Amino acid sequence: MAVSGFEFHCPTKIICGQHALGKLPAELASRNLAHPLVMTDAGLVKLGIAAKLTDVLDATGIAYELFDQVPPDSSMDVVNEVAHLYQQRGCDGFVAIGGGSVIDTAKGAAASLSCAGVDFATLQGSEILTHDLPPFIAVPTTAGTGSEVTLVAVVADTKKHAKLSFTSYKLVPHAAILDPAFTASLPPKLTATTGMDALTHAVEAYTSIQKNPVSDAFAVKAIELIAANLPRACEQGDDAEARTNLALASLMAGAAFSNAMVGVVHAIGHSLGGLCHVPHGQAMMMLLPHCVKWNLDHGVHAGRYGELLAHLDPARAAQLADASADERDRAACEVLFALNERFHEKHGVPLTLRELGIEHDKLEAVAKQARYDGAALYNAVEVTVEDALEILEAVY
Amino acid sequence: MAEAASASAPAVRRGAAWQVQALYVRVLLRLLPLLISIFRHVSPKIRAEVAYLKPGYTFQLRVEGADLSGTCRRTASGSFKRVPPARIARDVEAGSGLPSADPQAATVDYVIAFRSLPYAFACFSGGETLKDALAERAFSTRGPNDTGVALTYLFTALLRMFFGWRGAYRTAPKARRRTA
Repeated sequence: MAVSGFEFHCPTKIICGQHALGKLPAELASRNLAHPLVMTDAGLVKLGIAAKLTDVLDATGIAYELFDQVPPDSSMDVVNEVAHLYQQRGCDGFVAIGGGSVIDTAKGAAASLSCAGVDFATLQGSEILTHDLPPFIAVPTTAGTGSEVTLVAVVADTKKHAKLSFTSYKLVPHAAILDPAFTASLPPKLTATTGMDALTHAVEAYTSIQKNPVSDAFAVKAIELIAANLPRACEQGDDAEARTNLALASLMAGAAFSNAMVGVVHAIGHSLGGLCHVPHGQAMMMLLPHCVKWNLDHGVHAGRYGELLAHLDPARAAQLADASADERDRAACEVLFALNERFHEKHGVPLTLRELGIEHDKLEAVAKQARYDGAALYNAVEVTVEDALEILEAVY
Repeated sequence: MAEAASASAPAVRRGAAWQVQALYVRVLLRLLPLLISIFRHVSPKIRAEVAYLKPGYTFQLRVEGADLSGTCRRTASGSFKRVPPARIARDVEAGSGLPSADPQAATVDYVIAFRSLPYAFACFSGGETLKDALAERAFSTRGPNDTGVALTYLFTALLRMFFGWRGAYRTAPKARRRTA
């Protein structure tokens, strides 16, 4: 098979496993980082999770500044505030501990600083940054966004009620620390939605127009790890092996979509986040099986979802070894619906927009914004307002 | 003498094929505002995307390494006019969204920069679709994403009108739509 032209870039140093956090001081020293700005959110401070990291810094006498007010949907104002604080306090690098919002806010501030402190809003687009970021270490506390290895930063424009994407190879963090201690206390509902976010990254990367053999390898392995470990981690939160595997899967899915991009699920999900404030993982979880079904019903990606069946559900794939490509496609779609049903029944995860209290008359605006979301361009076929509306109606 | 020669910049050698491609892309960039203005009357799809872009919206297409660019501004009537290079603001970066201190200067809202002449030529001659070029990361962009998406839809519709017969467009995936 001919390979189309592609690029793949993942320079992040990965420090993974139980007690990986203990390597943070050495990592800071190796990067000549003496006064980092530690970024986190108030929730993680309250739960004592941020303290696990600051305790390590305190124990080794590393002076740091703390910004613990990153909101769940970070905005341009927060990004610019952080950049200002960094300069004012004379920091020399970032340590971002949190979910996607914390890491993306830190990326935004770091990018702004690399461009002499310009307003981050002026850097929208792709491949604009020409200078390297200050040293940047990401410590994810959810297994979902993959932001610790991606070239993307998603930040809300609160005035336009939209989520804006910034992409540049320069936005990829320099190091990522994956320690299961950070996700052990994540409640089942959040474990499920963030895990399904990671699964969405992998599935969309595998079907994106920018897919390539390297991103495919990452996506497929991520799907395998998520399918095997997500239900386990939801039921037994302190299962360190399942948590580590999920963190790794999230990272691998991140590396896949960072280089292959995403598609219609994210286009609609970003709009639901911007206009209806639906949390990203929740939106991904609800939309993924419906978008896969929509694609199959419209002859898009025929045969491709079936290729993922062996990784999603090996037993089902074995049963369908002699089945047609269409049957395997449909079976993969059913597995995704079944996963959602399982999380709904066992952990009460909402599966419809109605359950989340979204008003029906907002759907049209969501569909319109989805058509013009950057992720829509990477979908194999053009996303019309009618297409997005049809999917939203199915999720309603 | 030999040292002095090696220290100077190497001479740029461009063959006849390169010159032809550059001329073709230059002409097309010059004609682009006219083509959009005319074909919005023919194609509802182009019309819809033009409507998405506000009057005064200005975009620029550039080809890196070939010193080629074209800048177009949307008028209130929905047509597009070429913006001469001398009129483009120099005190702010194109696509940054920042206002110029010069009230007479035109600021560029969105930039599409092809990474090389062969990529630009392939797109403008129908050798590959804009989507294929995106998949290959053949261009970078700067400016608000939503208008960049609208421009991509617009250019795709425009190029399809000319090159729909070419393999790249004939084999592009399409969704099966329900017919009423």
